[in-house]
Amino acid sequence: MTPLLNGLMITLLFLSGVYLVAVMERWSLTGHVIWGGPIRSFLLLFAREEIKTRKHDKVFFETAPILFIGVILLTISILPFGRDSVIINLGTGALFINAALVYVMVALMMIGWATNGVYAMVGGWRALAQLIAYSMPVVMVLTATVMRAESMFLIDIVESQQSLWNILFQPVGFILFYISALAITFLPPFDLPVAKGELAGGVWADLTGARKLLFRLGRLTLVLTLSVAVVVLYLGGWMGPWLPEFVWTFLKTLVVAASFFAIGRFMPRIRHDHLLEFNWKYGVPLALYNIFQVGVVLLL
Amino acid sequence: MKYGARKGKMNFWRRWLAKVTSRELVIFPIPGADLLRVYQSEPMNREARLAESPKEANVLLVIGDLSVEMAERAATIYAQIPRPRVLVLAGPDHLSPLPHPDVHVPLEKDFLETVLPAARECLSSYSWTEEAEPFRPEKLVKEIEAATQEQGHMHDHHGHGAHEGHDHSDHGAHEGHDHSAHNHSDHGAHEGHDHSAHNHSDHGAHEGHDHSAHKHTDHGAHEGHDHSAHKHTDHGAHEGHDHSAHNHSDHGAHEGHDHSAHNHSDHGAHEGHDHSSHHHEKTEEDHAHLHGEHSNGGHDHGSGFMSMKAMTKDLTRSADGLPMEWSDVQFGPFHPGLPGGLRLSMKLDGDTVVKAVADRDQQGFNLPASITNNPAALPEYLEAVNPEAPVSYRLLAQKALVNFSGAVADSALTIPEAVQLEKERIISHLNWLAVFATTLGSDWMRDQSIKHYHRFQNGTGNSNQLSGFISRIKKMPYLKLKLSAGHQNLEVKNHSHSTHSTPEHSQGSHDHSAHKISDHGEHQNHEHSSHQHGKAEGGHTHSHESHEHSTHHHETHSGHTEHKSEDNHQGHENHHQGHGEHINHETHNHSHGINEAKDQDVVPGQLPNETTGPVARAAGIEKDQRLEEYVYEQNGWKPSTASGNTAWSRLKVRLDEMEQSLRFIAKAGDKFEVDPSQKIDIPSKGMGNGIAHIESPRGIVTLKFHIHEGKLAHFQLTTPSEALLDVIQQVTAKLELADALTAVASLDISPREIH
Amino acid sequence: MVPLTQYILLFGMLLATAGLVWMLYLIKQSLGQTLDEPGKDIPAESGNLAAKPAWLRYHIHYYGYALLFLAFDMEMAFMYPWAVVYKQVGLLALLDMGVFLMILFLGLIYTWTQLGLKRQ
Repeated sequence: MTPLLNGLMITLLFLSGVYLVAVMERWSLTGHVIWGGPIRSFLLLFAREEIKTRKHDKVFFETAPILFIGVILLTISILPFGRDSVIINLGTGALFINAALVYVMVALMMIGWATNGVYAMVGGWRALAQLIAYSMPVVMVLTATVMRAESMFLIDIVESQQSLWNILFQPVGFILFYISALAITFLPPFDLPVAKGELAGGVWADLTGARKLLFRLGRLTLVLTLSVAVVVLYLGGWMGPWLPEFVWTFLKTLVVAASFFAIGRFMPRIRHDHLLEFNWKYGVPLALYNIFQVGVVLLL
Repeated sequence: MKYGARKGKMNFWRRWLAKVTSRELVIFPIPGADLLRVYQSEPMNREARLAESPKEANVLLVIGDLSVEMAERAATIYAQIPRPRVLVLAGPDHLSPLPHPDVHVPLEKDFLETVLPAARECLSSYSWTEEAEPFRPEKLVKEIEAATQEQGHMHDHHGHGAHEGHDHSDHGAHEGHDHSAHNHSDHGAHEGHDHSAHNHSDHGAHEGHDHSAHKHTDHGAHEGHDHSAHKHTDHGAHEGHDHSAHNHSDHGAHEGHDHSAHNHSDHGAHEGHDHSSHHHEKTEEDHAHLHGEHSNGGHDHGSGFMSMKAMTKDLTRSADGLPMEWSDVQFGPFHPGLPGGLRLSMKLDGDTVVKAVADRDQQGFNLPASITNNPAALPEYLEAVNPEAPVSYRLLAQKALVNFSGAVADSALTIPEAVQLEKERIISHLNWLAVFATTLGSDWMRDQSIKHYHRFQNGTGNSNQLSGFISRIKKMPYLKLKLSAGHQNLEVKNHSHSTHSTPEHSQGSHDHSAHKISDHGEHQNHEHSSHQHGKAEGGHTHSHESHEHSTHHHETHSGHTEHKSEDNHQGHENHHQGHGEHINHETHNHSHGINEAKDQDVVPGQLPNETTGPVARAAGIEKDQRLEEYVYEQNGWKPSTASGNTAWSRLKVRLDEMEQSLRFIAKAGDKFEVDPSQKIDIPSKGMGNGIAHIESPRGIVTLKFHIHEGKLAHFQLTTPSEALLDVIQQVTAKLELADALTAVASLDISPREIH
Repeated sequence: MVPLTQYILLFGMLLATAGLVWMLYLIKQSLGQTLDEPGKDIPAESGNLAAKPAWLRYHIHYYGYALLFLAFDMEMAFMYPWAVVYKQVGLLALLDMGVFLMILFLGLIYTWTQLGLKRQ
């Protein structure tokens, strides 16, 4: 397909993906599937006044939403929807995913500091803790997938799964990446920065208008991005029998995104200290074991 | 809608936008979602949803009458809601600081059904008007101005642009205030001034915390190095974060002089300085003066270099020995994770709770004259003022009246009454579970409990489904682990105490807490999951704070109960007393260690004696009014207790109680109809006392009155929630914020019961 | 595409995002100004006036983890190129990196036993 058509198709898929994820989020929160819901919420944020808290930190207040949504868009642009359907086939793709998504948590920290409210502050520092917690497992399991593919091109990583999808080849890695993806998107049970019951909205409690929209939209896009990442890295990307490639990716992405939302309903929010503890005491050794296991299997 | 509409002309696009967005109503309920549920008969459907914070709400819904303070806070919330906003009052006509309502409905069941269309109409038609006016309630304006003055100095940091320019005149205003961010005696150095708050405003985060140690007369001095401190701290976390990368230059450059600048200037200048005089003159010149020159601080007073240790000498240390700043925050009346109306003032050390105090100035309980003159109407009145547990209060009043009149031989509950009571227990626990699930963050639990709540409230409850739900909660992954915060490891605790006894005494009183905390921390580390230890040292299941002085339940066993209970509440304050105790207890510990093995996890002496209800039962104390009732005994009923005194045990006790109630109701049969309450006649010359107790869902409620000549002379209502307020500090001390809020939510306090 | 071009493209995307966001702000502003009222800009504190600014020397309790994170992050920086050539180099690569990982892993264990991996 020509690059233009390609780009158009990816954009379309992306937008519809975001919309469907928004509907899913509404479903996970209220139990109702409202197809017009995202549009209404979007417009509602436009129709209302915009308030900036007193004595907020201007630099952070302005930078954080842009940074948040910016890095997410960057990440999705390097993820392949099909063998030729990728906007930028970055040579350090696997590394870039993690590197860019670190800024998500940074943006949360920034906005938590910026709004100058105690609830937001607590949420912001918790976001940082989440970053420290999930970073190591995620990086290590990414390395394991790169080991199998012998390159960091995401397209190569998908191609390396021709014989056996990574979810079966490195199950431990899949579980860790899945959990870390939940942590990156701060979905329940990892929604510490924006805890509803504890911090009354936490980090984004004091945001209104366009900035709130950017964060909410950004989070949905993040869910989509990470679902695509899970699919690309572990679920064989676009591989599948008759349907065209991008459709497969899209379907798998939706399944993964739905599972992200579904899991959160059934567990209480993880405790702050448990988050760090479990990730470092059990997550990191498991990730190291994963690398070791993949290494041994690859040499056999 | 003049206080709720946006200012502007309604043109085509705006009208369309208003119409489309009015379909989505986001409600902020006052005092809380739990009270809102009482008046609904089915879960809120897709038309409306509840707001997490005021900024995302567009409807403020006030349910019932509010006291003056609560109305003021409701006005604050209203002021924080972005326009267009709708004010709905269900019940009162007009609540003083709030403006006149846009929608007013009487308080009755299902009032939401009339409210929603009306609110929608308001939003779609009046979202933009030209007559919109700012909402300026007087009290609020005054408070805000006082608050802004307190904040004072945030300087204009040029390179950063982080703060809007503040005028130094703020400094003046600042003078007399007490920034009670830390109320540590060690800050006495500055004549009762609390620099900490001041410092915050100055620099944002700082390593210049030592300001507290020095009388902060010259803001000028701060300013100079503030810029630097501010710059680097502002850019995010100090912990080796990316952002610090771009501030390294600043950081390094300032490192040395920050402290020195401070030291020179502040130090010499202040011993015994009088701020006020000093203040204004200094600021301008110092500011200019110090801008560029950090190294000598711009003042000639002051001597050499002060190490960080010396600078932060007088600060209170946290558990791990770091001098950090504590924040005062309130988890106020309208928090989605707490019962509606409960206000907690907390002092947070980072995100650890140091002190948590519940607000006691709830609505006063004044009996209206109609009731004093006609005590026979007491049951209906009590039923009306307690919408959350109407049946319990009605039965209580009836029992008391029966006791008073002596007409019936005994005032025990009959089976239909017991069935009603148990049904209410189920409903109340379900409502509590919905709030608890919000605090926990489990949406499924919340939605299911709301569903069951409404069903049981309507009488169409399905006990099998409820039992299924209860067992699924018990099996929920990770729930037990999460709720067992504060559960301490038994034997390891003893070690810590022995090792810590000596150092503790050597330090000042304020470090007592620090040490305590640290050793708990260590033990906490050792296996969260395996709480129950076989060879327990006797009843150590505690939350951390219990340690302070009371860890050693051995004390209770050995008869130090009285001593302990008072200590419990005072927490850090009784340092010295605690020290002494501490040593004694230690020795006790070791000696009693073997004997207590059987009583593991039972901590009877830990709660104050007045605690009743599921909270007490969760600590192993078997206090239940239903033990005295014949009908229960007849059915072979036993109170359900649990051990552990953590949020998990309280949850378990309530779930067990729900199951018990279901069984009781099933056994007693539903064939009894609701008995119309027998009217007790009070003869006009009647004189006497009436006393009754009843086990309401939250604990034992006691009613005592004295009737003199047919009128109520003396009236006393003791509710379980009042006793539970005393438990809050104990339950939350030294826990992380989320765990503390969960613990408070698990207590099931009803602010409407507090007088 | 040459990697440099790709990165430039990515950077350009970031700028474009900023531009889009700015346009969003403009659209929002056209729908009306915010009415200035007292209390509106106080950050949410469940109905209480948040008097003091929230900026302070916040005591985080996870600095033990943060330090360890630094060490491991440096390790991961080395692991990326290693992972790419792993299959090629074979057993030697496994052993070499194995030693490195083992040393760091022992560091993790050490921190664990020294109670660094807990809420401070």
